[in-house]
Amino acid sequence: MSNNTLRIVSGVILVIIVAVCMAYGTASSLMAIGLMGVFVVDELMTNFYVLERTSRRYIISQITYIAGYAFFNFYQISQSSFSFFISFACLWNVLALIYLFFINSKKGFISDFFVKCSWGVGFLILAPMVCISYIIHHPEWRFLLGAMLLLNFMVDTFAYFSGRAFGKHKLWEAVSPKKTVEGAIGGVVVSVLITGLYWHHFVKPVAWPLLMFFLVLACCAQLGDLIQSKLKRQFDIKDSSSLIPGHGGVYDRIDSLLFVAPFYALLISVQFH
Amino acid sequence: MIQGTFIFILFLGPLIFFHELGHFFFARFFGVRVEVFSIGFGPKIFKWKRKDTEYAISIIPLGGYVKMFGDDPFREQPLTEEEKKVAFNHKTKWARFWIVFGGPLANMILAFVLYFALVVSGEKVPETRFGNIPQSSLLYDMGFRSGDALREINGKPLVSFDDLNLAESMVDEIKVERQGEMLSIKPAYNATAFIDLLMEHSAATLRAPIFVDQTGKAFALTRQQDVYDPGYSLEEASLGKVSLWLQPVANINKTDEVPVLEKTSEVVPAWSDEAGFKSWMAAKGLYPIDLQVGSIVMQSPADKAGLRQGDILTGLAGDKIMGFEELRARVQKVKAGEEIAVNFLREGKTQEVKLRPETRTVEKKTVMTIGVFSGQRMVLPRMRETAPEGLFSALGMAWNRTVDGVVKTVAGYKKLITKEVGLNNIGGPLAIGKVASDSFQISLSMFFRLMAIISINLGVINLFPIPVLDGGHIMFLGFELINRGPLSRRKLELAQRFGVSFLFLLIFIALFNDISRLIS
Repeated sequence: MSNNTLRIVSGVILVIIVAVCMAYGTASSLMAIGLMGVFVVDELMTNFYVLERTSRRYIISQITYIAGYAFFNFYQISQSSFSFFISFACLWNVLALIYLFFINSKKGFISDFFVKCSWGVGFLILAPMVCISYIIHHPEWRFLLGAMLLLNFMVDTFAYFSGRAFGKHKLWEAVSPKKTVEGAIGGVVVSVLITGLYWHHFVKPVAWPLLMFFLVLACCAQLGDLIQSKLKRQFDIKDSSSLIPGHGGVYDRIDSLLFVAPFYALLISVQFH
Repeated sequence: MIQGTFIFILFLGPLIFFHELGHFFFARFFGVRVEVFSIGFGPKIFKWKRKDTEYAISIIPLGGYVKMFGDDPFREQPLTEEEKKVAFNHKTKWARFWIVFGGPLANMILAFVLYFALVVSGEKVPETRFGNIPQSSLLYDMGFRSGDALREINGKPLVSFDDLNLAESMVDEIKVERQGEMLSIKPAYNATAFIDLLMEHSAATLRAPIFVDQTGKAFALTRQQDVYDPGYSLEEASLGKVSLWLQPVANINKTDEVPVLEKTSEVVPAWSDEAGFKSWMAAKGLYPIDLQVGSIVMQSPADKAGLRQGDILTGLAGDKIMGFEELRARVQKVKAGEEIAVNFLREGKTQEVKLRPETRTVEKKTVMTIGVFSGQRMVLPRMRETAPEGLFSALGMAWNRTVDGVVKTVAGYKKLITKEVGLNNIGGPLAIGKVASDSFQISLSMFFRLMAIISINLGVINLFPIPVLDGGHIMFLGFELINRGPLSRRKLELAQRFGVSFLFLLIFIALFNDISRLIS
């Protein structure tokens, strides 16, 4: 099987898994999202930090993540704790943007910082994961979560295709050599159109401000990709793991989702609460 | 117990950690070598060393310490020039002040950050609602009824008790929720007097909608079939106008558990007013469960007269009584030494005993008691969530709360010193553990609120000018300034001894109170 077919086949399988979980109900979806987070923490700890699964930092991170996720989703479900994580994750995203644009990757102090704070990875991943799970606690969660997943995967897919078809100008060679300006624009435009149509059809008639917001979210998805590329470059890694054939690790697949989810959850908590 | 201990450590750990971190940060900032950074006292459980500092978690989780190089004034051998550079005692007064003050400061900052996080994400707090409002009261005439939940005051949303701090001096309009409906009431009443009225008729006066019949079998009124709502009260049920269900209760002997309903139920027709409710109770032969005797104080008038646990009190001096609160109020009016007849039901038969209420002093007030504890069940507060605040207003609110906390804490200790409140109000670690675990059960917001206020307390206590505490160090710095040089060894030793014995006395009182509360 060529790499491309492999990519498509495992992509389809992924979509089926997500659809089955969502069809089953909130509990299974929450579990699935929670499990995804466990994989992400695992990949970060074993590949980025090269730590053993029995090391103290690995165990602390996983316990923080699992205990936190379970506590806020199954034991004490409250709007205020979700708002806390949404605000925290948005703040963290802003810091990540500063890292992307203003920190020279040749300087060591950011990677030093990350290495020193490796025991805090669990909490760091917890925030965006709780943002995703927040959407699931909403009564209209299937449509809302669907829109976010659709937006994300459409950005990735159409950036890839339009990049291959029209790509000429490099977007930011120092961070991610393969990405092109044409790909980015194509991905954003097509994904906003598709998500807009979906929203119009399933949720409610689309107004201009919402489309603008989708546009911002689609750009965020691209930025999330870039942040992860920069991180990987700094840690000298290609894929976060090889769990999903043709795609890399779970973190590779949901990196932009982790970046977009807090902003999307913020929109929902303000507009649909 | 295990959960309680865990919550206690989860609660106290961050407070101690940030306090010591404050000392540590300033010590390192001014170049003092820190030898040990420990959370907890006594033997170390975990320890690891990095550079000059040993980090440790020790066995007694009631405090912590930062051991700095050269902080012992009684050290014998002189320091070398190299060592003087990193010794605490050889730093300037200004540097030493900040190192010592860093701990309490960190506690204040922690409180501020907690308040900020709470305000910015919204809080889950018990809703503000009225308790029992009798027909003869002022609130009843204004149009309020028992159990009304306050939703809006003068057009502003009202969730927690803090929202009652009004800018206006008058309460013009209040929106309340009663049995699922929003009602607007215009009391046009003085704001502070209104808050006093609210405190007087607080939700603590509500009774659970549970009844016993003459055989002692318990029943509960529910609004929804097979669902017991721990926030619903007998007072609300008595307002009528909605149909309810009456269901037997299975586990009524365990007073601290939410009642479990048996699956049989009957529909109760709606009554139009309280009189209808009373006649329904009489027709059914039901009595509110707070009239059932929960326990009897040994050697009290009730004990001597032969009352027993499980008896249902039905009348006093020939009049029917409808609640334990009514009984308590009636007993207060009996003159000392006078006899009073009490009617009660035991095994389905009405009996009568005569007893003499005795006087007892509770918190400096003389009250009449007969020595009966009610078998009442709690009405739990319903939780509501406040709306998240914007960034800048949240900063302001967090600042105000922190300052308010400091002011209230200082005022509290002032009352203790001026003997306005007794020493038995001091609580120790067990008391803190109890409230921490209680607040954790209510909601995480309440837990963090408590953490913030205890953090402020910790900061304030540590600033007391008692030798050994941070405030004592700062006091000595002040003396050095006046003295124009270090204090003599003898004075230091004396002061330390005084400080240590004072602290031990305080710890003894706190632990004594904790244990006596545990026993009673």
